[in-house]
Amino acid sequence: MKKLDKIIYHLREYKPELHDRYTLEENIIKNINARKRLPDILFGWTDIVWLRRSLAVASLFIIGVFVIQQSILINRIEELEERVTYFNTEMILEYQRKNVRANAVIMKKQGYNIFNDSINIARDDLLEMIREYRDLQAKYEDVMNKKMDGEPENNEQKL
Amino acid sequence: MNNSYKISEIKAGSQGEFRKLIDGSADDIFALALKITADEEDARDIVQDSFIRLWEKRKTLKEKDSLLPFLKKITVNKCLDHLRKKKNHNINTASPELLNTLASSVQADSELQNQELFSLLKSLGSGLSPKQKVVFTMVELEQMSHDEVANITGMTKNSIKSNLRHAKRRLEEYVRYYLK
Repeated sequence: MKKLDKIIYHLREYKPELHDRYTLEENIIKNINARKRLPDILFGWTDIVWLRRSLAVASLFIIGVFVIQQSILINRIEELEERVTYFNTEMILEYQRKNVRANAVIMKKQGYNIFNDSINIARDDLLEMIREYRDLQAKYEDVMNKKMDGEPENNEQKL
Repeated sequence: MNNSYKISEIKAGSQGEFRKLIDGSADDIFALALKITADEEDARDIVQDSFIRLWEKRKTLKEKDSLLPFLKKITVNKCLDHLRKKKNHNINTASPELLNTLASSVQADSELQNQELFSLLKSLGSGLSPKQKVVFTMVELEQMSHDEVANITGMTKNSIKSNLRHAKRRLEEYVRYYLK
């Protein structure tokens, strides 16, 4: 037999006696009677079973309502956030459009040329230039047609 | 335990029936509390508080059930609270002289005196956690089944087994070291 087993055996066999049980019993009864005279106002209601159960049900109901309310609120907030994002995008685009136009107007009023490489040309000169461009294009097409028909030697003279 | 009391009358507030209950079960409850706390005065206080608590809760009792498991449950919970409060006030181990006496008594298989047993309980318990102490006392010293301990303490069977295994290992180390 191991030492621990021997010790356990001794402790198991040990049956302590409660000395002066009468005093203990009287103390218990005295305490019970003293407490009876002083009802537990604060927590006395916990002994009423139906009240305890109905409060538990009520608390579960309140928790349920709270959870539902929270989920509805979260959905609404998400919806509003989406609306705000769309509105903001529209505002930015509109602002940019207005800004480009506004810049152009301001620069024009201040005498700046918006297009740096632009030139001024008279209307008659422009028409003359277009006419000459068209004549030149017609001649070029004639040359190309003749070349296709087999008269490459005369091309230089005609040009 | 004397089961001559009537739960229905205790529920109705009969102090005479409650006295019968105290007469019949006080010794068992005191033994349990003493083996867990290893202090006679503390054990007496716990027994007293447990019976008062049982009286306060008498209206929630079911007539078909025995009162003893419920009473033990209250007692064990009070013992656990007591041990947790005392955790920081470390219980001293027995003096070397007493340990020598214990060692020779155990060696010689002679009967241990009450004082020696108290010292043994205190010394053995000092290295265990409150839960280990409760489980060890209930299973090994009070010879309760694991189901009974689970019902009283609210612990799972695995937790009981684990606490018991740890407690035995610690106690074996202790016995090997002190009671050579």
